[in-house]
Amino acid sequence: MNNNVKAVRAYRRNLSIALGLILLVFVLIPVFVKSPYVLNVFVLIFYMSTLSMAWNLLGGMTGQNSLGHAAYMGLGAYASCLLITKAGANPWLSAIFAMVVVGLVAGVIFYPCFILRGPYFTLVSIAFGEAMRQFIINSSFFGRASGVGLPFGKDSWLDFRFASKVPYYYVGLVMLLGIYLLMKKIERSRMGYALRTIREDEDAAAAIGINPTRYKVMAVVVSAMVAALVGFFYASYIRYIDPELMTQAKSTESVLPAVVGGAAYVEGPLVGGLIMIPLSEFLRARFSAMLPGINMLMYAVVLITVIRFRPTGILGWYMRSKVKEFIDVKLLKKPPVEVFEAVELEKNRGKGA
Amino acid sequence: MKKLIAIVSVLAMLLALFTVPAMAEEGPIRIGTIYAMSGGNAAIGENILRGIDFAVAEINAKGGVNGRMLEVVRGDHAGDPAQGRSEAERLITQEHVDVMMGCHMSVVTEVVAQVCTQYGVPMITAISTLDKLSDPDHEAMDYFFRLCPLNSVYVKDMLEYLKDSSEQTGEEIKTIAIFTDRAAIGQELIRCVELFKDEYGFDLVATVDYSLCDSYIGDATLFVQTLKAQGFTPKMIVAKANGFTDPAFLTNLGSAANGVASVVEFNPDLINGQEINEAFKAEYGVNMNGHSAESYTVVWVFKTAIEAAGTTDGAAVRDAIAALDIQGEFPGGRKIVLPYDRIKFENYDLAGVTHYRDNTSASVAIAQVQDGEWKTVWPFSFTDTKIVYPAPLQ
Repeated sequence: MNNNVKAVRAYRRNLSIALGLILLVFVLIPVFVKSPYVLNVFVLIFYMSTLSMAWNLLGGMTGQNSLGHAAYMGLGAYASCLLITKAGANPWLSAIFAMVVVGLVAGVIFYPCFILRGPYFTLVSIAFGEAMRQFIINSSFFGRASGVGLPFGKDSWLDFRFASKVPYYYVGLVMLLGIYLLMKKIERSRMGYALRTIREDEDAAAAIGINPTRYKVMAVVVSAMVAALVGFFYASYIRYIDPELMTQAKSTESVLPAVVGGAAYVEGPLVGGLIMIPLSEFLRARFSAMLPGINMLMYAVVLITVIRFRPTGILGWYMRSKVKEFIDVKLLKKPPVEVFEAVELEKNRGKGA
Repeated sequence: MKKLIAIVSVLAMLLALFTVPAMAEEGPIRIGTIYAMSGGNAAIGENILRGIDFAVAEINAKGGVNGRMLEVVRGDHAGDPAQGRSEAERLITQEHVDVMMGCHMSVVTEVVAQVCTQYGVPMITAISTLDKLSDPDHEAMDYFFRLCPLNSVYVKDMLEYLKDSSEQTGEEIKTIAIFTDRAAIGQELIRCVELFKDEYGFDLVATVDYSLCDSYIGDATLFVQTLKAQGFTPKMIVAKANGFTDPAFLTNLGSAANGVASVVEFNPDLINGQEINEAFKAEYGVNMNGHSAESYTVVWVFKTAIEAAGTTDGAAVRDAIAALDIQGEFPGGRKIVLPYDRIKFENYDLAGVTHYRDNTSASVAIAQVQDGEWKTVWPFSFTDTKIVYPAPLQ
């Protein structure tokens, strides 16, 4: 075995140890952090980042800017809450039901809309969100404007109901990791390449045999299903939902982590969520009592600054930064690109013989 | 690799520092408040907080509670239940508030009350009127109390007023129609009128609900203007507050509003509210409104309960609130400034449904616009002003 192969293996090992350690920190946080408030902030990070990943599949990977993700999340929350309260279903089953229903609704409604391109898709997504909200406000089955509450009771895994934050923390973390791995899988799959090709040039994609409508509908269905899952999680955690959940402002909130973190990367929403949500909580805790609303103003300033000076998001900047170089070369001992190429070549030659 | 391990373990240790120090029975008594201080409902939050600050200043000037000063710790829910939950947890676990007040929107109140019950922090809502907050689904939410009247009590009082009015107008009311919005508050109105109309012998001839056009104040203004434009003058209009009691209502309509009556939780000319309103106006330059008067009263309820309990221990204060029976005035001489003279939190039966821990004596007053000003006209024992009938609307 030559040195190149060894170097590549050592790098991969270091990388997985590093990722494992980061994961370990997150697994251990509830052991050390006893403050429910801090745990609550982490739970917020988990579900908002997951929602933002759902958005990113459409907005980042496919280039279809949706501003209606709060509606998918809200519909998911409503579907699962109503199934639990009206039919007495098990919450975990209701999550699956919610995902299927919302996926179907999104697929059926958006199939004809994909004839539209660019800003027109965005406009339809805004209209979809508002229409869904108005529908719920005017439907007594959905509890109109008063919303739906989930029953109180003792802690139970079966009913996904806890007084403590810790179970929500771990379920949220598992959901985040699961959806991350799913997105990573999609990114590297045929579908991922197709979506990115569509983003760059839809006509070119069609010319090389990719059916843009088919892939866009697939993306919107998967994205809506993930948002519905987040809706289920939200409803189980907050235990009360109302149509305000589906306002335009909420849809915008789901876009922010991805844009700030770097919409071109699957990891973007994670990074953005880890930064923006604690920031928003901190600003509110620290400043809102001094001068009401000042926290939002400061949040907006941070947001504008990031978008003005780092238009590709924090990851877009990081990927070209000295910090990354330092971490790759000094800590993880990443070999130069030529070494990777040599190893790849070696492998292929082996196969050939 | 070692460097990486070192960095990660330092991070882990930093996180461990977030742990909470223990509470103590010394220093100021902390009242947590969770209202909208930003966003579309910030104006409502401001009125509430003024009432709270006013009561706290008054109580502190007289030596505080059990020798300790009161302190207000403010949270902002910006109208969002998730944010309300976050703020409740922050105030309880980071700021160590002893008692909680909130919220403006009943949906947020529900979520915050759950958190308070979970941590054993007594909470009183001054203004959340949604009936179901105290229905049998919430029996276990036993740290949560409600001072204000329920929505159904608002409506019951409106019907009661219509019935009592014959005493002054000499004409009996037989038929009523409802005109309201399709949001939660409007839907509650319809439900409650249907629940009680037979009890009062009214014939409900029409129910019209519509999607809120723009804002409560915008709709109230348009409603009265349209009546005028169509030349339709009902003998009585009783509004359920909201846009009608917004200060802009009188400015927008001028004399066209004369005769319109509305539910009010407080009015400056209430017999037992005049004195407090003078002092409040001197401090803030505006009249006390229903929200400020109710939240003002809640601070006094907390003061009385904590003194009775002799401690700020959550369970003891909760039991003291439950045992409280204030008749006419609080110990120390402050009169109840609202249009009722008793505060007692009880479980009771409301139209066949048990409700829990509501202030059963709470009621509203009815005020009528007379010469461009809101004048209290009902309950008759709280005012000297008489009803103008039929409503002139000009």
